[in-house]
Formats: sequence, C-alpha cells, structure tokens
Amino acid sequence: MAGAVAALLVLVLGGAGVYLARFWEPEPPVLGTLPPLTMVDQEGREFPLERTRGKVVVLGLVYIHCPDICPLITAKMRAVQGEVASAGLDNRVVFLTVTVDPQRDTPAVLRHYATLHRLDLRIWSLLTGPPDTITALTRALGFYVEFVDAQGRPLEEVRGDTAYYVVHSDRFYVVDREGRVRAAPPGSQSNVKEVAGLVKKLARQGGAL
Amino acid sequence: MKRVFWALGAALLVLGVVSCRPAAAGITVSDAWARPSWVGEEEHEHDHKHDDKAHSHTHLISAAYLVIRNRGQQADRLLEASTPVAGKVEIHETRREGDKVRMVPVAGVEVPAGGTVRMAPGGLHIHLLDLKRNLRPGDSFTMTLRFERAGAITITVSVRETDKVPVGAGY
Repeated sequence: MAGAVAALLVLVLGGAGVYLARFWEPEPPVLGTLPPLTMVDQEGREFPLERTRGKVVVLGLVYIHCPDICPLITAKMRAVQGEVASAGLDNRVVFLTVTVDPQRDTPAVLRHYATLHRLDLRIWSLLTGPPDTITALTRALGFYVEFVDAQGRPLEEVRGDTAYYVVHSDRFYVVDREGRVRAAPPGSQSNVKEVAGLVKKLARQGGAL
Repeated sequence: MKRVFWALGAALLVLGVVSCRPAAAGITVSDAWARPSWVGEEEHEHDHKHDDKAHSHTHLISAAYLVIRNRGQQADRLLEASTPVAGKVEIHETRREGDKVRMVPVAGVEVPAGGTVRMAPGGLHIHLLDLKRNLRPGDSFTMTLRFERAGAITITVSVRETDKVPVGAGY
C-alpha cells in the first residue's frame, strides 16, 4: 500500500514539475516606476504621463538627428505595435517615443518623425518637454544620455547652432497598467516576438475585453 | 614607319590612362542604399504656420550604407564621400559600450587587399546632414567616394523603406 502511495506521489509531483517547466512563466520583475511627469506631445499639447495609467506602455527614447540606431529602435517598436494590433489589443496599449534632444526636436520635428516612420498617432504619441523633465525621465528609467560634439568630446551645454550628437542607451521600456517598468529590452536589437509576447500578456491581465 | 611609332605611342598612352582608372585599382562599390527622409507638402505648410524653427528642416538627415570590395593587390582607404543632396557628409561608426551606443566620426575606412568592408546599420555608415531635397523610398541619388589609391568613384544610392526589421534579436 505504502509503495502504491509513493508511486502515485512521484507521478503527481513529476507531472506537476513537467507542467511547470513547460508552461509556467515567472512574472517579470518590477524595474522601476514611470514618474508622474508632464510632457508635450507632437501637437504641442500637454501630455501627463499619468494619463497612460490603465494601459500598457511601450516607451522608447530617441533623438531625431540620430541616423543609425534610433530609426532601428523605432522600427522594432513599430514591429511590436504590429503584433499588438494583430492580437486586437490596440485599445490596451500606448506607444510613446520621447526625444532626449528637446533643443532640436520641437513638436513639428516630432510630427515629421511620425510621418517618416508611419506611426499610428491614434495609439502613438511623440513627446518632448523642458530639458529638466527629460532628465528626470531618463534618470528614473536609468537611460544613459551624454551630449558630445562632432569629435565625440563631452559637452557641458548644447547649443542649437553647433553640431552635436548624443551618446545614449540602446533600450526601450515596457510599463504595465500600474505604471511599473517591467522590462527594458535591448532597443535596436530587441526580439520583437518576445517583447510583443510580454506586452500582450500584460495587456490581457486587465481581464476580458 | 613614323606613323607606326605614333600609333604605338598613342596606344601606350591610352593603356596608361586606362590603367590609372579606379576600376583597375580593384575597388568596386555595390548595394548602396539610404534611409528615407522627407517633409510632405501638407506638413511643410503646417510647419510654416505653426513653428518658425521648422523652416530650415535641418532635421532632414539620412544614413547611407554600402559594400566596398577591393580585388586589388594593395590596401586602399575610403577618405571621404560627397553628394549633391546633402550639405554635409561624414563617415561615422556606431560603437557599443555595454548598452550605450556612441556615434564616432571616422577619418577613413581601410579596405584591405582582397577584402570587403560592409557598411551596415549598427556599424559603419555615411551620415548625410542638411539634406537639400526629400529622399523618398524609390528615389535615387549620386554619391562620390574618394579613395586614397582608386581616386573618385561615383555611385548611385537607392532610397529604401527601412521599417522592416528582423522580428528576432538583432538588426
């Protein structure tokens, strides 16, 4: 009798182990919180980040004069957006592209960027704001930003009439419905399927549509 | 007899000139493409109405990518590039330091004998600044590359839609 119970226990525990190994996914850790900052969108309107509460946020930081990596970051985010749209979850997710170069990237320039990259402005906002606000956001997210001159030397102050570039992190962020940062995929090198999978999972956590 | 000497001399001169042409140095350039960048008419008018800073459109920038092959016996070096469509052209390389990316100006690009240099997203690229005209997908423009040994080579660069990225990791 004892042998039969032991065998049953082994079967049950083994089955549970196999199930967990195959189907259980750990919850992504909380990496930080989206700060309650008020930014300015591509139409020049105020955009409080708290407005996104209740929706999953995919947030990228770029600068428009960036010719190489930033277009790739935006293209990866757009591919994630395509996956989200295909899953019928558009109304549960917002996409934000925030410039780290507010001196040059006015709302008009952001509108141009949206047109160029064919971003769907119904669910995608492009944001700028005072330099202090941008800095508060990048610090909260742990996103590195350093302004350098055309030779790559660090700049104390940026001026619109001289050439400068931005050394920056290559990441974007996935924020859950409560404003908690849940993932920081490697920007231009992100795996779209993986990121979209997480975004869809977080979007569905709000219950039935 | 004199005529024969003249003809022989002329033939040698032609051969000499031909042998100095870039193609003989073994450099070929292929797969040249650039990212699109444009301002639409409607947007242009909107910008003028709402934002004076938008007049210059200095945010019209692009990056060009290409492949250089050196089939010659000696190394060569790409020194600079120019194109009528951009006010300024620079050769840059994107370098990674952990998760940081840094765009570094490059003084020249070595093309080893028998070697290939691929300028591709996330690495070497030709940065086009202050674009003089819109670059729409399907457009093309000329670019002149100046090499240390091969001299000037003018190529055609196609403007390509670039929002198709691998769904997996990487570019």
